[in-house]
Amino acid sequence: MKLLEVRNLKTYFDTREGVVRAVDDVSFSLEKGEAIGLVGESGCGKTTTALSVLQLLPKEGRIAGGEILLNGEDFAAKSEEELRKHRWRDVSIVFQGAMNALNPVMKVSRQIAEALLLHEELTEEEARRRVLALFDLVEISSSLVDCYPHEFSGGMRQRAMIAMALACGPKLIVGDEPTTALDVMVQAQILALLGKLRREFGMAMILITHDLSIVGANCDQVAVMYGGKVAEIGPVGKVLRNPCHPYTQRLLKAFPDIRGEREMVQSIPGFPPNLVTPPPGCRFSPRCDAAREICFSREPAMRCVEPGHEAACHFAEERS
Amino acid sequence: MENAKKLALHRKRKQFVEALFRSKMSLVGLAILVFFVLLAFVGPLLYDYDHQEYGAGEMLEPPSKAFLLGTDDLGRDVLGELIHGAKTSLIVGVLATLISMVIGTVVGISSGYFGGRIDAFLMRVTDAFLVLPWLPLMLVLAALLGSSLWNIVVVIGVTSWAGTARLARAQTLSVKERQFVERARSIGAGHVYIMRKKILPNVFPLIFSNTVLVSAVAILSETTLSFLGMGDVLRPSWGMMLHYAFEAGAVSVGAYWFFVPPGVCIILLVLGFAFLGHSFDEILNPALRRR
Amino acid sequence: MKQVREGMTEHIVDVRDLKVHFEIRRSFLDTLLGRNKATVKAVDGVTFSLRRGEILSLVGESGSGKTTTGRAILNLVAKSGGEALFDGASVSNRDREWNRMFRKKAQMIFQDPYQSLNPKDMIVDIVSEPLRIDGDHHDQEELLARTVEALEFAGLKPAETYLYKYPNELSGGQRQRVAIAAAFILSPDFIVADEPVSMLDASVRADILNLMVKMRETKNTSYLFITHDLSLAWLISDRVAIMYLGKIMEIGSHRIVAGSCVHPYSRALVDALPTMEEKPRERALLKGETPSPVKLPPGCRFSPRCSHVRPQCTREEPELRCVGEGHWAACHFAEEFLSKSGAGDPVPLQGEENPSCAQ
Repeated sequence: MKLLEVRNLKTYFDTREGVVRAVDDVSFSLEKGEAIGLVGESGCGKTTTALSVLQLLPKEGRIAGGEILLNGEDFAAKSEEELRKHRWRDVSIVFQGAMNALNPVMKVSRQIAEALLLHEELTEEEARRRVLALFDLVEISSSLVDCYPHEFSGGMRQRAMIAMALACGPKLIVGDEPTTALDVMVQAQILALLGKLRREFGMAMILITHDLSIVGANCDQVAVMYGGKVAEIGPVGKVLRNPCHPYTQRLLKAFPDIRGEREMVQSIPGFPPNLVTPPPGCRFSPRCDAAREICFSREPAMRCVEPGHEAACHFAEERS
Repeated sequence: MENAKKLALHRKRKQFVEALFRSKMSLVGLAILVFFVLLAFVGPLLYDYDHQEYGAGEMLEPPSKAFLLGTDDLGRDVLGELIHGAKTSLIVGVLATLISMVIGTVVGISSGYFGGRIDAFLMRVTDAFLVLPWLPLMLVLAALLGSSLWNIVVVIGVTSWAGTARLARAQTLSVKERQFVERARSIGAGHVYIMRKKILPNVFPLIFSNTVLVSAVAILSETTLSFLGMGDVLRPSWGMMLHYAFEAGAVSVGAYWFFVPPGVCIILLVLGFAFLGHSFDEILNPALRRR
Repeated sequence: MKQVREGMTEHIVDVRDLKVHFEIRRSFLDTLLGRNKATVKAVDGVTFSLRRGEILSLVGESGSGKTTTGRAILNLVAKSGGEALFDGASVSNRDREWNRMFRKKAQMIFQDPYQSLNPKDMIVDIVSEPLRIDGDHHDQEELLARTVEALEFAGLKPAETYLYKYPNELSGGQRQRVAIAAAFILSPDFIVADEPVSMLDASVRADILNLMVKMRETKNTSYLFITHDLSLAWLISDRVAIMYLGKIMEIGSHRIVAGSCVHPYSRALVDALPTMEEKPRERALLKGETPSPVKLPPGCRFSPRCSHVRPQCTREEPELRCVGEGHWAACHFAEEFLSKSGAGDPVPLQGEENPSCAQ
């Protein structure tokens, strides 16, 4: 059984302009210990997908269809009370800029301990010991145990947030741009830490990022999203080396490859689609330089180009 | 092309007016203010009354057909006094607020923008005005200048700007750190230009909504001064009405018609300004809107 | 790229031992007890120069002083020592005429398009502002025509649809284009671009970078490109300078960030760069984070984190030395690392007399 299965997920937002189809028919699955990267430009639905998995949507948002199975259990059918327990124990999340979410007047260790006490029946002493173990795990020196958030650096605070997310030993951790606001070196350290924890505890991970190069080194699978849909999905090496969807191909050209030729990056002309009234046919068709007639009228289905590697393009096989 | 610019400005103004009309609170506030403005400026034309004509009726006559709100201790028509007194309260409220806004904004923005010694000096002055008991100060000033309407306006204006200055300074401190101010510096803009074109437009919405609240305070101050006998005896005003009612012992003889109408009018007018100020704040300073 | 007209200096910008120190206010208690004020050495002796039409990237982590260096060159922050020359004259000179020229010829593009445009100004006012305050008289038609031209150059076409909008009606990418149009309108010779694309999506980022390069090609504009992203620095610049705690650790051609670097800090940065490779090499990441520039270690400022540290490193501060053609590094053992990096044989050290060592 898969650890996580997302099937035909649809998440809509009710706004004054109309219904925004932020996530429209997204499917993917994760094995125990596996990491998937969700990549795409802002507004492509990657964060909404993750928030749907955690059932943490803002109040305008709703899951309009599809299933989210965690260990085979339907997540959407649970009550708020069950979900709350569930969220921390089975899935947890590290947000972008989460390090700024710590309470400035409370010791960091205390904040983690409180989160623990809230979810598990522990004595103060046990909680304290657990926090120390967690600090050790995320490589924060135990001498910092009595420090307040402002005495931590940005990277340390992000480590503390990871410690908090790990507190109840989740099976799945979601990182929503967890390193975006951090320096190159700290980013590399945090990603290395997440990788180590994943290997040690067999934790699965959903890593949301706009940076393709981060996915390359840190994930097993990658799902490239565009306009609320998955454009291409598959093992990282296959998708990045042999992209079959025109969007993935164009996106790759927008990133410099420091190990390759020094070629100027190229942009993708046009704008991301309006998700209230998406274009008919393939959502990428208005920006696609290889679009043919059928692309403007019929929505492409997922096509398998090689085992495990699928792309939502009518001509995916031709491009592989 | 200039037309297109006007259109764009017009569009922005329209959005503001629409937002104003969407909120119930601002509608109530607007209605109250419109009512009092009409009362103050159209009322006297329709309702004939002479402030200096004593003994039109009996002393402290209760409401009747002849005198809808009764008479005061000098036999004057309370309704007439009320209508003719509205103008004083409004004029004082608006003008004193204008003075306080101008002083407060200039002091606050210069203080926040320049910082250092200028800031230290201006803020000590502001603090002095803030902590000095404003009532005795006003009384002393009013006594020195003499109690004419314009003097009262000036007295209230120069004693009430400190809060605005503090607010303007605080906002300036945050605006001047924004990158567009540095951008203006990088293209060679001078201090006055930056304060006028970059800081003021960003500070103004906050000051403006605060100002509307200040006018409520100004109206109350006028009432207080008049009540304490520092008012302009030649002009009817609600504060003066309360002053005379108090002196005549209207409360102890139960002449409620003498002091309740001006009291209610003052409360309503202050509420009107407060409501409007609050909704301006919500519309102009959207960061606060979600709370 | 080098187009030096008569009467012009070869270098548009010359920075010599530039220092910017800030005094930070201590707590009230410290003041009472008369403790010394702490000094942040944000920029602590930086030397480099920029040729006309050249793009130089200043790379470093936060706290490295790269942004402060850029601001000091534009005289937006007072320097505490050294000199920054623009067109051969000090940027802090007080000559009115010169300053007017300087503000026209040198522009800045900021990182955050949400912060760098005044929300209360319309696009037309933002873009035409440099013209309106440059001291020359321009009539309304000329202002408008040049604004339209600048907006269209920056890829906002047709310009008329954007002129009378406010910044909050535009997307992040569009705002950054507006900022670029406002910088372009005076056809500056030199632009400090402070992380101009770090808040943008990849596709928009590519557009903005192409725009900057196009401006260099048509107007021979020089750039100081400030970024934390090594791969972008490698992509668009002629030369790259790597900063750490207020000093340049290494400066050389763009190739140094692709692997031919010699300084251990540069090496660590390059190694930390995520790549699309499926199975990344094992790499040694630096431990910890950049310390605060208030308390600098003795000797080489990188020594406490350096994996190759030797006794000399904690005693003597290394100077920036020439290690190859146009390649300088501030490390006592640069030559040793040079042979390891495979960047070629070390040039015999003759200091500045060696023509290939000219910066």
